[in-house]
Amino acid sequence: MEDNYLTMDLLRFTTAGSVDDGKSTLIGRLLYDSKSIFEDQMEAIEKASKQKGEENVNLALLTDGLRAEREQGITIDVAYRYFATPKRKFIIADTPGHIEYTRNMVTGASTANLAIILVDARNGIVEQTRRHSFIASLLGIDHIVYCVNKMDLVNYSQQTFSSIKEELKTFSSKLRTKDISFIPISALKGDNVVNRGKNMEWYEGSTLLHTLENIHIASDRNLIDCRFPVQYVIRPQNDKFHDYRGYAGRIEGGVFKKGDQVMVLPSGFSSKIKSIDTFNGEIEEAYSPMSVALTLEDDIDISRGDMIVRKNNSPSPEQNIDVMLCWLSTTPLQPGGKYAIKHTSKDARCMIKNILYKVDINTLHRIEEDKKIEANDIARVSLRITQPLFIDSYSSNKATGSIIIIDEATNNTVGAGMII
Amino acid sequence: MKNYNLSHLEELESESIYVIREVAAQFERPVLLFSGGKDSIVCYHLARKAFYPSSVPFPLMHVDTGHNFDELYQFRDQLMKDTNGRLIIASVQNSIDKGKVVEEKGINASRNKLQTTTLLDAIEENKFDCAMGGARRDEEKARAKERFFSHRDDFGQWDPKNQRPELWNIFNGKKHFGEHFRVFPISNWTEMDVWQYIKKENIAIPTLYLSHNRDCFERDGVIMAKTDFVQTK
Amino acid sequence: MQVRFRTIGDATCTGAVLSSAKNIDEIIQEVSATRITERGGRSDDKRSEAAMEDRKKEGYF
Repeated sequence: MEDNYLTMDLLRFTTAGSVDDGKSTLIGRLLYDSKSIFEDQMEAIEKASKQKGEENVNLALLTDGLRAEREQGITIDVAYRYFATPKRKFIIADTPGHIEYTRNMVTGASTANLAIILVDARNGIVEQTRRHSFIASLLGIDHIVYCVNKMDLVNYSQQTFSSIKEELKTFSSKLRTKDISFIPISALKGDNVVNRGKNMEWYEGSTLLHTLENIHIASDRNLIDCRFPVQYVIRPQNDKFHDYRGYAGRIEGGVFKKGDQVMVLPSGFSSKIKSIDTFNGEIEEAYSPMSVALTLEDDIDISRGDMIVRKNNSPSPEQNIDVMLCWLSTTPLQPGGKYAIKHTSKDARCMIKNILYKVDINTLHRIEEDKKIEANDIARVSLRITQPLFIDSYSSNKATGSIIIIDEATNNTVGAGMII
Repeated sequence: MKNYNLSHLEELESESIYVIREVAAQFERPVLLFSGGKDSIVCYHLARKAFYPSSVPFPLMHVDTGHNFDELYQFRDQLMKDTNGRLIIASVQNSIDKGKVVEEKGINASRNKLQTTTLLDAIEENKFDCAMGGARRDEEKARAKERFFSHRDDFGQWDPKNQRPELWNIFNGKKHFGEHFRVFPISNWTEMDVWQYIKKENIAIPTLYLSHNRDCFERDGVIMAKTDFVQTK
Repeated sequence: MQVRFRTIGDATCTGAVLSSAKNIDEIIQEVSATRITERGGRSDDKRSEAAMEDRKKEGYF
């Protein structure tokens, strides 16, 4: 074995589809054909499928990890799956497709580079296709792959695929996501998933796996605007490192170099990067998403929640922000209510100042008459925060452009917001 | 142009270090569960990296059934010595002696399940508010449903159907008095990632992981080592 | 027998695998070729399909 594992990269993707679009079959197919399902796992699900009197091996049993899911035959919660090819390692956030589980798709999409959206070749675009596309776009996913599935049930018709593709193109032109591809597949038979198969020779594009392996994700990161939220202050307090103060954190944007002029927020003090330290030694530069420790030339009071940035390129300190808020709790959002809020490494409190409108996630229309925000609703909301947050818009930086809202009585995470 | 990409191992490492630092920042009395197995060895290695040049700001805890291989105990003690690790041992034997749990009987008897009581008692006695562990989502299908930050109620129970949504990398470790968290820094690693990382970082592991000659017997298709703790029939 | 452990837990529930892998490189080769899961040799997971879920609910690791 060569050392190609040192250069493999990581792609995180999420899968969305309606209940019967064959999502589990597709994941099963990807895992099976890439030899990521093991014999004992296969035996276990064969046995379980038989016990239930099912004719085919139910690949959904692989991802339905909870007893309740297996009993009810539905996926309740996000499950994570892993596989690798010699080129890339993949993390799949497998999310349920039912309407009541929008929050799960939002969760899965929040860390994904790419979304696979399944479309049934027999039905074309349905309500859920729009919803899944909208959520993927809202969550800033840079790449969407539409898999037109069940091509075997429409005689592998090129015309059916073309017309669905045209329809999807028109619809998706309204989305923020710009890199969109379309692949005709049969997850059940395996056509164009890992192997090409012989049934759709008219299709000249890549298979799904080839697409996943080659899609260019390196330029998705923001390497321009330097953002370093301080997570933790390292103070060894031993003889060797007596006066050492290292600011530990993960770089959430840009490239930091030794010697760079930086500014610390909120104090506004300036200094220079003295060193960028890691366990393996000092490094000359560091970039997102590396976890490092920075030391500065000057002794400045810096603590968790502060942010180190470059002079002349800093996020704006804001106490009033507008967010697209996805509500995650079964207890409705309280207009005027107070909640805890988390933004990067900063904790604060906030008040719901105004609900501007709710979004119909099937049509993208604004609903201004009904402003009751319940679980799985998405709305534009104005927040007043107890102290300034150093924010960017979500579209320019996901890490400094996102917040979560927490119910102070239950401590539950009840809302996820993308800063506009 | 310079290549500003991270490899999959570098990205996983950065994610795990980020999670471990969040734990140190969000909790007052965290602990790292340490079994001496490869996953907890990797977690400890990541923790040492996360706070360098400082020492790891939390202790390790081994929930010890007393039925481990000698090599494992030797390895554990040597590693603690070499790295100045602070190790707490929570003993299942003590739980048995105190009458908190009853030893299983019969040919398949194991202390594995008894560890839960010992673990929960040790968390309570030491007032730990967060226990980190090396569980991975690829290991097992129930573990595939775990969050990085996983809430436990005041009985130490997990409610998998009512988990807090976990978005981006914003981790919510808020809890009421008496509750605690389990945190899994290497959730996204696979068995292969762990081995590749051990190779890349040249991390020491117990010799049990390498091929050796051992007196074994087979039970239900599983090769078991002959030890004083296992009845062969 | 020539064995190694793929996962190490309590000696009463951890199975060994037949193996000649003497170093990390050989372990990596073995892991990439295997068709059995890592916990396939753990009797604690074999007690029932939801064995891990049930233990975890009670407070297991």
